[in-house]
Amino acid sequence: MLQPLPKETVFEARRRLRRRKALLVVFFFLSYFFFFWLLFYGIWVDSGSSKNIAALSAQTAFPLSFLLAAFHFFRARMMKLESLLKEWHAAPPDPKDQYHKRFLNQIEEICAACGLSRLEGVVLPSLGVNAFALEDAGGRQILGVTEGLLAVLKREELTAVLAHEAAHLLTGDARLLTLVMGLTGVFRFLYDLSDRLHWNSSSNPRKRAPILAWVMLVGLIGHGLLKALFLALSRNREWEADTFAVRMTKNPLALAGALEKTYASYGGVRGKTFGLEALFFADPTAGPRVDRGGWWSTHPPTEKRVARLLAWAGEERALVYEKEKEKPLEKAEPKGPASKEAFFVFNQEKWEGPYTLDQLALIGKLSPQDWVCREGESAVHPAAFFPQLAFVWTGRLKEKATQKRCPRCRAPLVERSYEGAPGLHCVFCRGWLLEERALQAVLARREEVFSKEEFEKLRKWRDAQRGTPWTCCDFPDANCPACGERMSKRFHHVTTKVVVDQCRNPSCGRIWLDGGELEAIQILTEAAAGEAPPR
Amino acid sequence: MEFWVIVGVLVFLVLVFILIYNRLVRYRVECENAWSQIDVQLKRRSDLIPNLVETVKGYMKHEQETLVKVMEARQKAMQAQGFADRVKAEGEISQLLSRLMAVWENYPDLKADQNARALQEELVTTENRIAYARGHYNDVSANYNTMIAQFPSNLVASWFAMKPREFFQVEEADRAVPKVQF
Repeated sequence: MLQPLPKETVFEARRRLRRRKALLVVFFFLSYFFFFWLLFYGIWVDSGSSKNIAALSAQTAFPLSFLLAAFHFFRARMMKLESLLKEWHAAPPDPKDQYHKRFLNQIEEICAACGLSRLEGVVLPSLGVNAFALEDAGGRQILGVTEGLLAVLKREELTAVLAHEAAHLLTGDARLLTLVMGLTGVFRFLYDLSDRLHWNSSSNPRKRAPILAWVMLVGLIGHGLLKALFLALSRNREWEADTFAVRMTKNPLALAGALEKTYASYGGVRGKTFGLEALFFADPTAGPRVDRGGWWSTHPPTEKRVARLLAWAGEERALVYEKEKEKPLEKAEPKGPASKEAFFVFNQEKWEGPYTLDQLALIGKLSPQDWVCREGESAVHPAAFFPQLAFVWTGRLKEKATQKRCPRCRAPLVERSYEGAPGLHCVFCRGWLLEERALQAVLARREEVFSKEEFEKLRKWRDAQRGTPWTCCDFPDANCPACGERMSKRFHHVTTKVVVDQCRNPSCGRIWLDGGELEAIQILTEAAAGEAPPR
Repeated sequence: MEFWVIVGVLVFLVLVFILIYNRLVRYRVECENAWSQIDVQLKRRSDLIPNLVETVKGYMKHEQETLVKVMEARQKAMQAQGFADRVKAEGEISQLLSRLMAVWENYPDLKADQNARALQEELVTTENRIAYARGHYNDVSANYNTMIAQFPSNLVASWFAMKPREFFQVEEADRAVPKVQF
């Protein structure tokens, strides 16, 4: 079905938004200077001066307001990113994690598209779906994403989000916004100060200095108007970044998809975000499917943004999302040689096993002439008869055993990834050794698909759990396979009640999960989250 | 008085000249930088290709011809002389690789191999980087070429023999309409 042409093209939209931004900035600074002039007008009137008060106010207000603006400008430039990143528990991406590696690759793509060279990436350990861009005076530019965003968005959607955030860095409006926020705060500060002084100056209202009431009034109205202009600027910059992302990726549907998913998900991160909402792709203080929109919002309404993007793509909303629903869910990829198949091996005059292919690879004693019998069958053949066993002696299995040993069965652990996160795995007892960060990443991802029966079974098991981690778990205390320090038992979380072992060494902190525990934590976390984010 | 007016006008003209010249030089350097970025990505792809062929040749039994062509195209690109030849050779590699990526899904053993998946991601990102770097190069070249053509910067440009840059254009073969075959 033919769609009507959009009202304006991406290029026209970009030009219009840049003009609007210039007008808003000019109007903001004019208002800022005007309210300062108004403030001093009242002060000079109250002082009883006989000179030309308007001119006097201008002479006093403009230099002072200019100095204050310059102070805030340089303060914005000197903003230390470290404290903010620490507040949000941001960490550099782990190149061994497949999702983080993809994120790093996409940052390089953004650099190639924009001619940037010093773009850094950070990942926040949050299940919320969000992203942000930051810049400091030294030219350090950072693109940040949450684990939830990496897990939920497809490749092209993530590129569109990163392009949107990169636009804020390229146009320099991150610094402009910080300056504008600072100047808006000046009038808020004046209002709060005069309010306190006004009420504390005297219990008799007639004896209170009228100038304080004037400062309060100017502070209140000034703050209100400047805040409205700041929010209009914030919304404008989001629209502008959308046009940039579409120009760069040539794929408006990707950005529309990303907006839909962030709208439907929780966007919060650990740490303080109040007052910093404008820095994020989605408002982190709004809940899922809450679109504040309107004059008092840092972000434009998602519905309108998606509608505009769909108009540029020439697509109808209902059709796009019907096509998405029709796509079959992709099943989890097999993780290596098929591990369900097992063999008995005739060794030293007796039958041993059954061993899976992973276990045979680790044992490494099998040769082509050894007699084997596949589990479930009675026929005995030389190992060479089965092509799937060839890797045991040809070394085709890419995973190598490490020096680290499983704390339960002392078998060598292999490097393997689970849902893209790197870890060490015991192929015999199916245990996992993961960094805490990797576990957070796994909980955000949904590659593994679990059945309703598994959900119900684990929910009943969890509800039946009573007691402490030490009474709930029969395994003895273990030593960390990575650093050798003692591990402590704890519940992973009150919602899962799965007992895990965590290394006591603060610089290690790795977590050991016995066979089945990782899947149990995933299932129970997904159950606690309710409906999973749309794919 | 007239003397100072004339001096003022001359100083102004000199300043304008310097500003225009500096801007042209800045655009030219941006173009050279953008082209070198494309070069970096093309080299990266060229280094990945032998690893790709080695990894997939055991799995992709029916694509041996394509794999041989990829290696030949890579050789041609490394030996290409001149901008046009290089662009053509790299375009051939892009076509062949996109054909390989399209049939990747038909080989489940390949999809299961972790190394192959990592390599696929590297190739996808390299192709994207090349595409974005080309777009960026064309954008900065357009700025440079526009300034060379516009008045009065065209006067400064002709004085210093600054020539327009060629765009990184798609080969005609890539634009050929695909035949329908069922």
